[in-house]
Amino acid sequence: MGQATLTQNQRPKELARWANSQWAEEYELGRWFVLLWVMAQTPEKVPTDFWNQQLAIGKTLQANLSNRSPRYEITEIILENGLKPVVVFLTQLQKESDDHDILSQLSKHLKSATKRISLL
Amino acid sequence: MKNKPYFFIISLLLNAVCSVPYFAYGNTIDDYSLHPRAPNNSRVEKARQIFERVRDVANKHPKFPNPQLVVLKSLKNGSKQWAVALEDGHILLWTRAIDASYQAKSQNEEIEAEARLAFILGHELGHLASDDYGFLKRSRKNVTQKRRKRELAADKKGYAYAALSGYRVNFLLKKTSNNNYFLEEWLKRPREIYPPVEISVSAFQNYLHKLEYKLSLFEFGVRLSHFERCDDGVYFLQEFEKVFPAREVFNNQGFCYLQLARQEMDSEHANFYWMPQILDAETLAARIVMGMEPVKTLKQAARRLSNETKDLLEKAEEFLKQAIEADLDYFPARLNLAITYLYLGQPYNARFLIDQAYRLAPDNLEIQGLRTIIFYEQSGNGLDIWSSAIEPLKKRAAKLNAPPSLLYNLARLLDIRASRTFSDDAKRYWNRLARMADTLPKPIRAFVCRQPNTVCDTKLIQHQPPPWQKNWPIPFKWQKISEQEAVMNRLSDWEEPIPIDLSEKLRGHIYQRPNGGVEILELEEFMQMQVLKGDNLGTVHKLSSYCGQPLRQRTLARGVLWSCGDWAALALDGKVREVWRVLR
Repeated sequence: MGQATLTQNQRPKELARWANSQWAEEYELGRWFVLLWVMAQTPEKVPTDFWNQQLAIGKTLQANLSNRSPRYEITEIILENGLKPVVVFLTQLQKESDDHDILSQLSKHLKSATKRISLL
Repeated sequence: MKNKPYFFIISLLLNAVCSVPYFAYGNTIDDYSLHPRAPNNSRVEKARQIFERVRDVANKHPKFPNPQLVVLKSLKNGSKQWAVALEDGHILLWTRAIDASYQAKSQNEEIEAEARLAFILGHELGHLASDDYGFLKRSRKNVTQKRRKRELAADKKGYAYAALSGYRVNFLLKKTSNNNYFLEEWLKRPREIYPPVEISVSAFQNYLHKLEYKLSLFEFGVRLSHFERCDDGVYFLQEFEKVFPAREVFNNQGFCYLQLARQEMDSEHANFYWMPQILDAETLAARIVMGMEPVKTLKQAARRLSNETKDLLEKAEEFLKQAIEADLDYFPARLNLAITYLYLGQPYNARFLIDQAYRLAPDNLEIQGLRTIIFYEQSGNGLDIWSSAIEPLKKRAAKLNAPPSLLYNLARLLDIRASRTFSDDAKRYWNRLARMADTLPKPIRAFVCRQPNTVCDTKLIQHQPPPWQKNWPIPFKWQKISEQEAVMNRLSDWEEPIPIDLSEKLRGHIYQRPNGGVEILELEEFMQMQVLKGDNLGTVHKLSSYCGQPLRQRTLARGVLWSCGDWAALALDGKVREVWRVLR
């Protein structure tokens, strides 16, 4: 199901409605987390460019969430504990795109952050 | 999930991608590490205190002997949950649940809120006790009926635990000042991904009402057993056990059978040692049997037990074992069972239990004293442990706060050796006890004062009888109910009486005044006990002036019980909440 959801151009209906809601940014963030999580575990070497692009996406998401008004405490937690560490890992991957330690830490963080954010 | 389904669905997705089984909603406390903890304030502090009291009476699954509470701050736009039990033994309570509990602005707001919080926390403790939070791990399909059954079972436990720990659960069944029921809110509370428990408020009320009825029987069972009326009390306890087999119920029944067994023994045997937890001493005072060949241990005395006494002790053993099974760390049941084994002449079994109780409460001097006695009781077959037992007792007796039971037991052991030196030594301890004779229970006092060359210091305590008419308006006389016309008239305005028909051996009624201030137990047409309930029954410090002797003190799950003769007062935080008066 996960694989299908990621590769399908057409989003499943139950997910698609969130793309147009007030939670669109969180929804995109969640999808992006899953994509990163998959890529962080890819055995093949991922081009540095890819991580550069992801860093840019991360920063955009960061800016969008930060500029939201009003900013609820829940957004602060997502920004500080979910997104910020990802941006740090992606910055490190710009220099060492196949550093297994960083990739493994990124993968772990994404998995736990996804679950923890869902429980807020 | 009302607010963040995106992330929840995505977390499911992640699980699907990982090919791991579907995880239950929130596995461990670690999964909630991003969730801010509730800031400390008086209500959060109160919730913690309530949790501790309810936890004290709750059954415990062997995996979680000591459940822990974490109070989380409810976030705006965050989870709408109230509380959840986690599979690592934590219970989470959201501030949203605390706010919901304090919703009614009524005269009894604090009391009502406490009862609601106790119910919510009891419900989650019920899940932990049954180890059933991980239900969704196994199947997501067709869970409604099973889930409903489990949620209702947890509701039943929540209600009973809250009541057993002294919270006024009757408020849960009543309408609030907003003219709605808390139970209404409870039933429609967000159950996140769990299917809702589809049950109407009135059906749910009926469900809890049935438990309320049985609880009334349990309460009178405890009261009767307190007044050494276990022969009747045990039927009441049995009735509650049928619907709610919990550790408190088993322990009370075990205590009852132990009490009945002691009543069957001669006083010399029953009071061979002064054991903790035993409070039924008063009625034994008249039954002192002298002139039997003295025994040196309870193990020897056990050989003289009648078959009837032995049967009662074995029944006590059976119930107390069940109480421990329901909570491995349940201290009173361990103590009662150790005492039962001593009376049965099985000190090795007692040793095993008391060692565990000692680990739970290493500073408790009474436990230390009992442990030494049990150690001594293992003497025999060429093994003489007397000297090794005496020394630690002497050390503890040297302390100013040494409990009188320890002094009594030490003096008994010294007398057993009966040599000149030891007798002189024993005399010192008998005299020490004699100086506090007015604070000793009657049979112990009688035994102490009988010792040669001992002069007992019994000051007559100045007292007035309890204010039965003024502050404690006990309404009725102790005579056949049908012979009290005025009583009959008054009772007709009360609530519909609760009928009692227990094992076809006891018949009667429980009468309740509509405002809940008085309860009457009638058995076979006679008034047996009258119970006053309320907030205007005075404070603990006045109680001693109502009694001609020192008050006996007993700690119950729902407060401290102070008793004297035919009455007892149940107090919480220094305030008397209930007064019990029994027919003598």
